[in-house]
Amino acid sequence: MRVYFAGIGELALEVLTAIIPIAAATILLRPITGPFPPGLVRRTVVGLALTFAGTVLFLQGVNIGFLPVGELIGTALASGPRPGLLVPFGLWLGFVVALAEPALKVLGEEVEAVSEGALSARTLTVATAVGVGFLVAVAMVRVLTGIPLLAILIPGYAVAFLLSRWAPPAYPAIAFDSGGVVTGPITVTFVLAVTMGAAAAREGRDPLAEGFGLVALVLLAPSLSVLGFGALIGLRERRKKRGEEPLVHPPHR
Amino acid sequence: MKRLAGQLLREAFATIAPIGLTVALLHVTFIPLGEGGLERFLVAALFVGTGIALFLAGVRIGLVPLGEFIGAILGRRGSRPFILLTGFLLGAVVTAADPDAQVLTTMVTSIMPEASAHVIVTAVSLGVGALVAVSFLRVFLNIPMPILLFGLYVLLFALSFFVPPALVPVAFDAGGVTTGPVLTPFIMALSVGVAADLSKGDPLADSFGLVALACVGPVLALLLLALFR
Repeated sequence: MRVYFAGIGELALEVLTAIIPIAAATILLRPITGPFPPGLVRRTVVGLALTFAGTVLFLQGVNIGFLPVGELIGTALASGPRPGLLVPFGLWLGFVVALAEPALKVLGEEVEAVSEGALSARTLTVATAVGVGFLVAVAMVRVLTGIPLLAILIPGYAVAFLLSRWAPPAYPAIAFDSGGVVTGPITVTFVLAVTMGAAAAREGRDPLAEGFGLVALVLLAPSLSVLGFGALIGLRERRKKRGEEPLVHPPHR
Repeated sequence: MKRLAGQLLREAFATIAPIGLTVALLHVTFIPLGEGGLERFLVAALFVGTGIALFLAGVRIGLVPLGEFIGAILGRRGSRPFILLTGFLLGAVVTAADPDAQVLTTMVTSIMPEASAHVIVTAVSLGVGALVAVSFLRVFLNIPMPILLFGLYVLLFALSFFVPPALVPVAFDAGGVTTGPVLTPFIMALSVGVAADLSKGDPLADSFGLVALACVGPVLALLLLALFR
């Protein structure tokens, strides 16, 4: 039992020092904001307390289990007989973890609202999760082959910016937002630990250079899914405006 | 109260179940975790899931209403320089408190023990703060989001050619890592309030894109840090 809580005291202290500035900043702003509505003070205090407790628990779990095991799995796969297995494993892991990220549901709902139903929350969620899986697999390929990150990122962003020219106006902002949203607490801890463990196990691979970069890649995934759909929707709308119908099949004669 | 706790646990479970199952499966097939390893992992996963559920609740209950309140007041009463300053301050402070920021430091220092955790957190927080200010500036000047983002990414990519190549992936990762579950909702709540009163275009559309901009901050900060080390 003792081992589960090892180091939690120091951790709690660190988190406390991180949270206190929020309270301080809020108090500093008091002359401008005037008195807070009564409920808000209580809610802020409760909110901060919950955030504190949650953060400590989360970080403890990450330190004692997620990071070590993630690295172990990455190392084991990379140094095993078939390192190539990392790629399909990455595909699976990325997909599954993306689906589990709490913020993805919220994103789906936002997009459904903004697209007025043209893009359903479910379609977006699955499409994004697939995109994430794909990019985690790409990250694994990077670990195995050492392709520079920029060689993937720059073209990736070029495609994203290109797509955003065709998508309806609100899409690019949401699309690029969704990257930051989806790279949540699980992706960033467990999945990153796997790539780092894998990179550490490969000879001649620098874990710093190859283990990292996963998050940057995953960041791209939702942007590409949302913008991909957005571009299709945008192009369809433009064709409609010009008087052509999108799915007309001319008679073959 | 009981219902809330039940819901919390259910959310926690849903978040970690996929990983828990995957790891358990691996443990009994290819990758055994050693003595008591699986048990330790499952407990850790429980901590993680519950921790996430707790801080998400904290964000929903306290931080988001706080952000909305401050944002609304800023929008109504603040002068532009003051709004920028406050955005900077709050962005920096909340970033430092975000659990993912701590994760970033752990990962960086595990690879580069000579890096100082405090320097990293400070740099990253300042980066996000600066970009929050930039995002408000964007609203004031009505610069279209995609153009601003494009310009910023060009800057980032250009900078990255002058930085030791091994440090580039960490820097780019920092963006996604630090825009975490605590910072993101808070900043969005804040900017909704500001945009509502000060947007020259569509306030709803203007309140998006903030996270994307905030993502750039840490990358910029770390690239600059690496440049001047």
